[in-house]
Amino acid sequence: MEVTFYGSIKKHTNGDKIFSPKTTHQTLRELLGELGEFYGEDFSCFLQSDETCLILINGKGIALSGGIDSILRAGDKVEILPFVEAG
Amino acid sequence: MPKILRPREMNKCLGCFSCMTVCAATGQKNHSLVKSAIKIRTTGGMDSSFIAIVCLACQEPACMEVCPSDALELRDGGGVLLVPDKCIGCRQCETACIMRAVNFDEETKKPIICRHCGICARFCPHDCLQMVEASEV
Amino acid sequence: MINEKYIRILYVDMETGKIRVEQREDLVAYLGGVGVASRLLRENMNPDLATTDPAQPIVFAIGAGAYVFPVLTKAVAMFISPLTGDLGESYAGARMAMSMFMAGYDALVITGKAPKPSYLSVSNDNVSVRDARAIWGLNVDETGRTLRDREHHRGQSVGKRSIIRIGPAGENGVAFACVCVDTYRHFGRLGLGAAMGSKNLKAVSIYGNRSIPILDYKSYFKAYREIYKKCTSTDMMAKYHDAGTPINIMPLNKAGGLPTRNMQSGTFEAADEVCGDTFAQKNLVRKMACTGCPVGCIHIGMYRREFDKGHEYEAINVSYDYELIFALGTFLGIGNTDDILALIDVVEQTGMDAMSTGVCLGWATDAFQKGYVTTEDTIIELEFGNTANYLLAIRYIADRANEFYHSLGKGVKHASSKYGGEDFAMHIAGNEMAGYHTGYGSLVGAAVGARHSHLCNGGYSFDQDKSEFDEDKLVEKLFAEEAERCMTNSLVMCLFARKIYDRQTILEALNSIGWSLTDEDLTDVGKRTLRDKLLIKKALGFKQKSVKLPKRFFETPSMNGMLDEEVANSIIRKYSEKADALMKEKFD
Repeated sequence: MEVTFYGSIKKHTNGDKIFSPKTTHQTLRELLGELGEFYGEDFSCFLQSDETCLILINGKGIALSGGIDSILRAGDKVEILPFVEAG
Repeated sequence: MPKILRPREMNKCLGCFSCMTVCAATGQKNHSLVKSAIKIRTTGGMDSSFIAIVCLACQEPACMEVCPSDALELRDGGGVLLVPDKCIGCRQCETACIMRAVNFDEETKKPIICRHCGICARFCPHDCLQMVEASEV
Repeated sequence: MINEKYIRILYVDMETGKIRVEQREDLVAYLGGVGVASRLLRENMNPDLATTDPAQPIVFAIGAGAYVFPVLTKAVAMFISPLTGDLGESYAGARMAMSMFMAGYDALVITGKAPKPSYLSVSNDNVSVRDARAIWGLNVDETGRTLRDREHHRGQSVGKRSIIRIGPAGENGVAFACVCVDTYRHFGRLGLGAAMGSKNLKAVSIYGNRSIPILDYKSYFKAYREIYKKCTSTDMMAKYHDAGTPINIMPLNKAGGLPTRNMQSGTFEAADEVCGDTFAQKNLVRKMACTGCPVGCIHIGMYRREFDKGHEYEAINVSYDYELIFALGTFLGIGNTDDILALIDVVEQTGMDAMSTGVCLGWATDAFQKGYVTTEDTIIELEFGNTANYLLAIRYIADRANEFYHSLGKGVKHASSKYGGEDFAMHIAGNEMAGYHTGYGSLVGAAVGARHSHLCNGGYSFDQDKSEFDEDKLVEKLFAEEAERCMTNSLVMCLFARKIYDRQTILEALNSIGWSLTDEDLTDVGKRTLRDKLLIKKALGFKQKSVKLPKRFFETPSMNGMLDEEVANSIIRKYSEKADALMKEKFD
């Protein structure tokens, strides 16, 4: 399981990519919760607020694959990109 | 030594006018920009840079020297403080200030001059306005 | 109006130069902004007359809390759109809300057509219609400069003035002509520029110097301080100031939702050469704010234009944003920041909406490549990536150079109905598309949104929803969000501050300056206003079921995969039922 971060989210991490988190997880929701705890408050705030990032699973938007409760499998690629609301 | 306000880094100015809004609000209890002691303006249209026109806290204020009724008293650190009851509204202070930093209030017929209280600097999102030691300038 | 229990409206008849001022207590229930403007449009428009009949009104309004709280910086313009014939609604920041606030008017209603080119000068102690014959035909920069000098108000108005103006495109009636507001912002969409042009109204200059005492300093300043702090010390707004909206180029490209080459694709191979970081590195020279906003999201890019041999250069400063990089960049296959800035500059000076211009050029290029039109029509060869020819084409549209460009200037829906290629004329209900091909949210959101904009209900953000796709849930969300925005657009809040102005913050702010509002009141304003807008559309002949979405929306995969026309129409039908029900609701 590989999780990649882009853009301004990079500043919260050690670089572009992180390896698979150590603890077990099954859904995207669990993975995000875990990442939030792993990186501290700023990062978890970022992920928990709606509409501030785009999440892709294997290059596709998550709305069509079960949303935040999508079940993840070994080999899946999760990408987290920053997004700015238009005004 | 009390500090004075200096617009040090105006090249970063966004033109947001927050400084003017809070100056008018706290200094004059008014929402209007005309009641601000500090004036932000462009040097010729939005394409040009922003400048701040505000009292420089002179140690020998020209405005105080021309006041016929001693309504402006020298402030510790430089600049002046208005004594409203003594002011007759003659506008000579306005003319005397080479920086055009005396804002004459048409409503009260008295000048509004920066007191270097520092509230504008606190509300500048980019630290363009800074409170500095008078001895440093 | 602040400290008063009425809405203060200035009516100007351009034909006679006569004005009248009204103080309407009954409109206070609409707060201000789009709430009040919708009412005024309904009251003053005539659906039986043509879209640009002199009698039709242009309404400008500012909101409750305008300027005195951070980021309540915008004014709304409401009119009958020369582009769609339907509801015209557009927002702009810069100095307009501040200057209307200082002049003491909550709304302006402009009717009639001036006998000769004119401009309107509004201040708190004078209103006049003035001769603009000498500046008719000038571009937006020259117009602004001239009026800046002319309208100096004894040197007092510097920094407190707003000058909104049209360019040659608006004078020539290009249906998507825009209005430039204080150089770097605009009333962009739906053709307000043409509406002003049809009234021989070249510009409106607004200035005010009234005194406005604070009624309850403690409560007001407490509310101001807290909102200011949220704007500047949290992450919520930082990204708008940082690289700004252009930061979206890479994420959307990665996700396959970035419209490219007239939406032939959702990804652009040169996206990284025109993304936010690249613009910042190569061209960014300055950031600015609308007056009243400490965030400063206006990004100014500079490019050096070689205008002649012998090392002859000039520096051109242009404001850029995500939508412009899409419309005049990826949508036209242009992968170079300088080229995009050059295109934005010409669109700006002629006074046209950048988004509509880009989408029109995209269709024209596709149509030319496929043989629907030839150089007999287009004069020059149109091809994706050919900036030099696009620079010429933009002027042809603004000048209405020949029959083809005249048609193109009526919008891509009209042009494609005449020349063919309707399947790839990327408009939604007559309004050229925005830079998101993300799913049913963005597509349906624009189809059912009252002004057919991506901002009506933010449908594109629901396409990244963390929950699974569900038709009924999407309808609920679109409807609720649109009504909510009707309320926040009555303040008028810049949408970037949507996370800061939650209900509680809005109530605290407004009640500190004399309002006594409850949460229910806010909900009420949103629903009333949405209802008014739907009734305006109905009166103007709009029928939701007549909206036919161009086929390419269902042929190019979106961020969420290939979209199905049946599914889209089903969602639209469900939304219509809710809209119809709201139109029948009674409010006192």
